[in-house]
Amino acid sequence: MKRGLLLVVLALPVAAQNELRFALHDEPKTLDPFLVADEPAEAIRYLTEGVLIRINRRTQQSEAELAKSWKISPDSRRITIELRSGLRFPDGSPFTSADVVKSFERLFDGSLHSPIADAFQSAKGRPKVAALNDHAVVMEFPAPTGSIERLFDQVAMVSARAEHRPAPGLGPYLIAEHKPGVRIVLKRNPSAWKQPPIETIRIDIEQNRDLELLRFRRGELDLIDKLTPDLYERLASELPGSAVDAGPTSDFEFLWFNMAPQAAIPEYKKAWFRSVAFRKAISEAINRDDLCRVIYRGHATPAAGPVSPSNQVWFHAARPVFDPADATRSLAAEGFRLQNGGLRDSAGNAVEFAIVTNAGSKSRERIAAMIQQDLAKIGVKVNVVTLDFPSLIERITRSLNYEASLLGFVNIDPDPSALMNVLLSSAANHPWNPSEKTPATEWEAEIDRLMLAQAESSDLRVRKKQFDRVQEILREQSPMICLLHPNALSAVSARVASANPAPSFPHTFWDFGHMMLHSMNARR
Amino acid sequence: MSRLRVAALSVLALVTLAAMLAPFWARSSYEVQFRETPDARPSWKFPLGTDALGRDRLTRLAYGTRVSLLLAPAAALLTCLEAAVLGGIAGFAGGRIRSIILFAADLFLTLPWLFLLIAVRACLPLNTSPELSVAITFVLLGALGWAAPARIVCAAVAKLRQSDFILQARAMGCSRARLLMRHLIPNVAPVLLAQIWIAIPVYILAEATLGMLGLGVAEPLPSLGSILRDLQGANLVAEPWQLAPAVVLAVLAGAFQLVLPREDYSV
Amino acid sequence: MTALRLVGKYGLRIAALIAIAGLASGVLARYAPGAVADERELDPRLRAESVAALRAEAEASHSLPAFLGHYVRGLIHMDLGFSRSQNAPVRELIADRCGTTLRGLLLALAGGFSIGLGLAIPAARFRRALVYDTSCAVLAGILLSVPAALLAYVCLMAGASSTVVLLLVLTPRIFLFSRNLLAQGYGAAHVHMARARGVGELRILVAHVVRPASGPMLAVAAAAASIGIGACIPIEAICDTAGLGRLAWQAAMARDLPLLVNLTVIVALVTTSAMAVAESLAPQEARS
Repeated sequence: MKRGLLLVVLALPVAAQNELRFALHDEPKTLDPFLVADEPAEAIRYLTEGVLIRINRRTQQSEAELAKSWKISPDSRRITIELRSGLRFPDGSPFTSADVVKSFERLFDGSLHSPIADAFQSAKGRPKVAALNDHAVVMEFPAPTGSIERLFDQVAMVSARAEHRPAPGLGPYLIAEHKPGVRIVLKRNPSAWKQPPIETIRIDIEQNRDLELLRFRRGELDLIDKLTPDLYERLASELPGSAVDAGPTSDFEFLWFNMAPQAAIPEYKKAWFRSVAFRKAISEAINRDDLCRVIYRGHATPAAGPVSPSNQVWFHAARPVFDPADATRSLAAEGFRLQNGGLRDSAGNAVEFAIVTNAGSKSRERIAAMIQQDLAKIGVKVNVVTLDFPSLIERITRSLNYEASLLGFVNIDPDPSALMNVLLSSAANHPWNPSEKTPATEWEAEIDRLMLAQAESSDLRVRKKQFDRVQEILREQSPMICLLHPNALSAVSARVASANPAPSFPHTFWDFGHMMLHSMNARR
Repeated sequence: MSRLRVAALSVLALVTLAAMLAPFWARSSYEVQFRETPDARPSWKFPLGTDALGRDRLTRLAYGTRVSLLLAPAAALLTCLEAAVLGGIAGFAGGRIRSIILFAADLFLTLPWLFLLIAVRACLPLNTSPELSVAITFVLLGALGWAAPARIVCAAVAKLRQSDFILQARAMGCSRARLLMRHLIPNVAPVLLAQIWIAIPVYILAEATLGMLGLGVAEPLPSLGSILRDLQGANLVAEPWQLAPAVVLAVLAGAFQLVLPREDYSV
Repeated sequence: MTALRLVGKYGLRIAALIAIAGLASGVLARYAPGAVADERELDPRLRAESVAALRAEAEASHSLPAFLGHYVRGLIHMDLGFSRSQNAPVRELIADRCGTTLRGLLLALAGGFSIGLGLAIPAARFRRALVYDTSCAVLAGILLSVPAALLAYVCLMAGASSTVVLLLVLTPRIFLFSRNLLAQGYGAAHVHMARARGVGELRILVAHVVRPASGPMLAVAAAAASIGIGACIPIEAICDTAGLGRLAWQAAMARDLPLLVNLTVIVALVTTSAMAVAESLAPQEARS
């Protein structure tokens, strides 16, 4: 009888002792490490691909991975990397400089349009990579490049001899099972230069965050990488030790107005949006403290600009201003008048505009609703339009048929160069007026000059000064009304040891080299 | 059974009255945010508590019910008008015309209308008011929902066409128009009325489903669907009052169904 | 009617419906706003040239005539295209998820009929048991009055699967229809005669009530299957079940043309077949 009971108990499904379990909210769009553009794909790449240099998500310092060491020339145009020796790919071939050269050749292939490749490129062109010997490579940039070593964090080293791509690499894990839309199972890679303690990672594709939390509470998942503020509060009240707030991220939520001359909106509205006083008044009328307190339950920081206070190196100290009275005065000085509770411009047009944002994001919909109320107090009528993401992209990037938009910016790298393709006036992702042939205003021309200058400088103090000035211009002109920086909220079960959640993605499993499960600890 | 129908009608009347008179009895408007008390528990000031932005749940529930009670019957009427015309023609004419219309009805039942709703939403002008936007949604639901009622009307008209009094009228030289207006339509009217009563709760539920999927009404106008969406992430065990909109929805839809005469199956 | 005659009578109609439904969904997917928009364009790392190249690529790959031509040719080799949003061949995606949805639907139908019939038989037999009948009708009415999406959410929180939600959606409909049908059967003159002649209740039920009603019952099953397929989309989307319903929802949100067209064709096939079965099995006088 006891034996029978034991057999029944043993037959019950239990988590494998050395298996970490968490979920991604969507199927990775690609498993090609050079084409990674979405978070789920980034997560898989992070866990399965080897890189030369890795950024520590906690300290933001560069750490050697497949590179043993590196040296940057004084003019910041050359980096010489010495590779670790004795490493072999899963196909048995040795890891040499030829693989590094081949990896970069593939990355810089024009037909790929890799976003990672674009990060290496400057106005003067792409860098050249050459092998010095079997275990050393040199990369030469056409112009001085600040923070060169940070660029390598996202470049996977692939085997030059692999016939099929993507092929197993030198990352800590290999893909053992992949059922699209259902799950991905990773197993420890025997070829990894440093073996992670956890043997298996089971990643389920779980779009429903409530279900993800339910499964976490039931013990079916060990980590939740990103929690919404509602679910964080719920978990914190039910399982206090499991909810972790790792502090402000570099991401930000922001609102901007459509200032493109070809925008399909009335001319009088274009005139409003182009007025600095109008934009600043709108910014001053929004209560960012309330947004952080009510929507994010205190787990966010009001933003005065695109750089988070947690980014201690680059943050240029300033507090956002909330002063509806001053906003009203500024608008009055511009010729706007309050009539029957509604604001009208000097031509008598009622001040009304629509904010478009993506459907499905409760936080963003709530932000829009609160902004609607804040602006109603100064007589501005706001219509909130939630669209599915493809329709939204169509409006803000192609047809330019929108008036204002509310979106979030996911900041992968705290370095200012990560904002290059947003702040440069010629950039396609320049939110308020994309792809300008020449800067439409003097302040945009100044931002262009400063951003390009800091990207080519190797002197941190000079770069800081230049980027500080960029931040000042953004505050003065308010083309992007930055609202808040959300905190990194995640969940770590008691089963996991040494998780060390960080503000940068991936928040919970970035430190796979040290993460362990308590069952493993007991055995040790 | 008639007592049950009376009770259902009374409940409907009560809910409708409460919803329509909301501007008079509600403490504040549905969009006002009491930001110092978000997610508040029920109290004297807020009988159903407040939502995540500090808005009075009871007020929003009343206004949301108003939206459904005003627009769902309009959508149902539109559906039944279409069904009357198309189903009537199909049943009356018979033959190829009937086949074509029923083919079209089957086609309407198989197309992915959810996708059309997503597409129409995306096409609306930016400054369309939330009220107009939700009205358009209901009109679309009404315009697309004719297929099933049309089949029923077609069957009813076809059956009537073979009935003795119609045959007699035709034998006596009654014109088609007179036949339609004096004999067919008055006899099909009860079927149409039943279809309207069936369609109303269907459209209330359809809007609620769309709202829960994130395709509902724009802020700040509440609808039953957008209010129900707040259930996602809520702790229903600790905060059972959040189920109030679900209860109202079930009561409304159930009352509409009970008002319909139950089929008498005694022989 | 034999199966062959059924196919003959309805086959052409079903084929035409499926073809038009597939074409219509393709047109909707291609020409709805956002059809050629690519999320990758918003990547802040991309330079202007790369964004322009992505846009050109998207425009070129979204030609509807080219897609339809490729699709029809591919059908011969059972190549249903490639899903950009799911990063997998459409055939593989459908094959993986078909089982989950079918299994759920069949279990829900079986459960719905078991429970629905189980409750309907006493209600039909004992017409004067008003308390029982009213209680069942009220419970069915409540379930019919709650949207499938809400039922899905509540069941999700309670830890129930999407099959349970489908069961709750289908059972009240099956119960109400079965009750009426069986009551008509019990009220027939020959049943009274059989009872007067001392025939047992079980035999009356099986031979004289259920057997004559089997045709319309099958019609109910077909109609319920059709309703179930439609309800699968919100249910699987909310319960996050890896079935065809969730796939259809993801395809709609991502404007995934190949996936949308294929799923529409499948849903159209099941729905029209179910309607054809229901129509052919419905009583003669109802089909005029």
